[in-house]
Amino acid sequence: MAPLLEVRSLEVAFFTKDGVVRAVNGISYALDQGDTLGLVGESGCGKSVSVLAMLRLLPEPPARIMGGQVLLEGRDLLQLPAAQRHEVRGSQVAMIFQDPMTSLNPVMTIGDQIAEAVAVNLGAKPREARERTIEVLSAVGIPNAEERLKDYPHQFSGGMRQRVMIAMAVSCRPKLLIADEPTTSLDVTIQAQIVDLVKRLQAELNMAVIWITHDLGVVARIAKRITVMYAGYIVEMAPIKRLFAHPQHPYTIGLLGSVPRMDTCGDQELQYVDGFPPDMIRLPQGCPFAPRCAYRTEQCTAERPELVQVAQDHRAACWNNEAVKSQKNAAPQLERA
Amino acid sequence: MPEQEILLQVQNLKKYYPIKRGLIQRTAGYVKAVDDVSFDLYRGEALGLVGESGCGKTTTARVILQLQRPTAGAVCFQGRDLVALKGEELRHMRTQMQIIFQNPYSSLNPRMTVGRMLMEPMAVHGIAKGKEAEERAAHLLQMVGLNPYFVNRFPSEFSGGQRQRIGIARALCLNPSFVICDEPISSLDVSIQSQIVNLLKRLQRELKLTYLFISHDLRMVRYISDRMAVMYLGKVIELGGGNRVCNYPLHPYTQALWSAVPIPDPVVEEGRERIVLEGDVPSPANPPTGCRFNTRCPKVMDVCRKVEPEFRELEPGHWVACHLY
Repeated sequence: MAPLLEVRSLEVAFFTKDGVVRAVNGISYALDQGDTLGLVGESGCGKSVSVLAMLRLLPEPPARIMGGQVLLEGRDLLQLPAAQRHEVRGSQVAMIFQDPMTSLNPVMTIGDQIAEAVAVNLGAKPREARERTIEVLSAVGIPNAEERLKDYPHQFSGGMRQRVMIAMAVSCRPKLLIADEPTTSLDVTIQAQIVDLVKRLQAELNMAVIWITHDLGVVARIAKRITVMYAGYIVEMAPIKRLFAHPQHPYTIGLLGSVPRMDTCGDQELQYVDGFPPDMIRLPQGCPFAPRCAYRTEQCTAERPELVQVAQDHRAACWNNEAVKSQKNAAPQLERA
Repeated sequence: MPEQEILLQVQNLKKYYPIKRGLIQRTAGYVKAVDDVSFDLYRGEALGLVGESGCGKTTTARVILQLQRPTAGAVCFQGRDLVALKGEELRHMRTQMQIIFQNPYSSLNPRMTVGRMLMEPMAVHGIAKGKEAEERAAHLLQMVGLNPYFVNRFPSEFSGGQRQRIGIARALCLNPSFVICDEPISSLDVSIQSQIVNLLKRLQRELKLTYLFISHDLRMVRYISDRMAVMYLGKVIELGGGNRVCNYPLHPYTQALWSAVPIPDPVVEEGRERIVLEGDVPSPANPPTGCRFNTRCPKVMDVCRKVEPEFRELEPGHWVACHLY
């Protein structure tokens, strides 16, 4: 079966007065229907830019898509004319954002906002749109949905606002939902509610989900596969259990080691990744992670490693795979299966 | 808990903010941001203060430092009640207590060089002047892992993690014995967070500091703290040794909070049973009667809606406010 979404060598750059920011440098991945992909990385690694570029939501200029294809059921979204692109957004691919307060319209009732989306995308009549709105608001767990149609975003709490965003996103039954750090600004108990909600809706609607986050804990809870990004490159990609048990790339190992856990006694020293992320205008010539890497060799600073298969269904971009493997076994706290 | 010297004693601390209404600004009620909080802080320990946003963690910190005056209660630092101190006396005590702020972008003066930022407090408090102050500033920068040459630079020339290091250096420039870390890592990236936490831990060891570590990131608090206090709607509902509170939480809220924290391990996550709380935190202007958690508590009983539970020591050093016990 052909995948629902296939991203092929997507490249995005921003042309600024300081120079060309190479935000996304040729990333490829595929996603099946109903599947969940976790896109993990730190701020500025290109994870958000890559999905925004997919839907052509970036301001162009300064952004420019330098190359690549984004195939949704075989159609290249990047090549679609504006009118058809519009059709895809909302009805086939929907997105939820980190901050629901700034992504909802503050001067429009939530009933009108969702109904508008339904009317535009599905061509529903006002009454149908209203009914559908009540239905989705109840589905995302807003109590007294019918009465709350008349409320404005500021009358909802942070968690409830995120539910409204999700209601709007799923109102047209999209095939793909892109969640860009949807729980980052929420408290943990609310975060858990939202993760459960998205999981439930995903199963009900058979949606594929791309979940963007920097929190490896949240990803462990929701994703089936993980893609780790660094400086605009994919550095590692594997099914979730495999990645947590046998991380290959030093950056992934560093990230996993730098998150303390609640469930193990914690007097072990927290690992950390030295230094800070590179300047995206002046990316190093070799491996972008080389300046911070503990396993760096001469080859790393000279030549950039490609993403290659290291085990079945597991790819990593590192010159020192064998070295990483043996070192990893020596570090006790990473040794759990 | 072995016999230890008490450095700071917080007793029945309250901070109410009036809600003003109408033309003559009549007081229509109070937001009870901190409502009857008591705890001791031992010399050399790190006490973690956790809770969801709006539960009063930061207000507690500000009231302890007398950056805001409490509505009622006492804060005894080395035996002296800070609430009763004023002017010069309070200023003098301030050299002992410092704070590291959450946002390293807004808490550093953009028009001051790093050196001036570090040397000004030394001059004000007469700790060091001239050449000696310069040397001390350079030494501080080195201590927090920055290049001493950075003294002549402005905050805008640094990244978030580096700025937080400057914030830490500034907090340490007067040789305090007590430092409040108010969400020092929440605005930083994951790989930088662990750098800062490890730095804070090292400095605590080397300088024998006492920390009040405030964060909503339970994993980081767990990692750095010896003891932990959990707040909900202006009250401390559970307090105890870090391992005790984490492994055997007693209060239903603590249990729910812990189970909501994702564990970065898909195998564990799969088999984990979770308590998902319904609804949102009620407004602190109009908290529920009885136990404040009763509206969301999965184990709620009749008595919880009427009587406020007492904060009791259930086992040595492990305190909880709940009718279940």
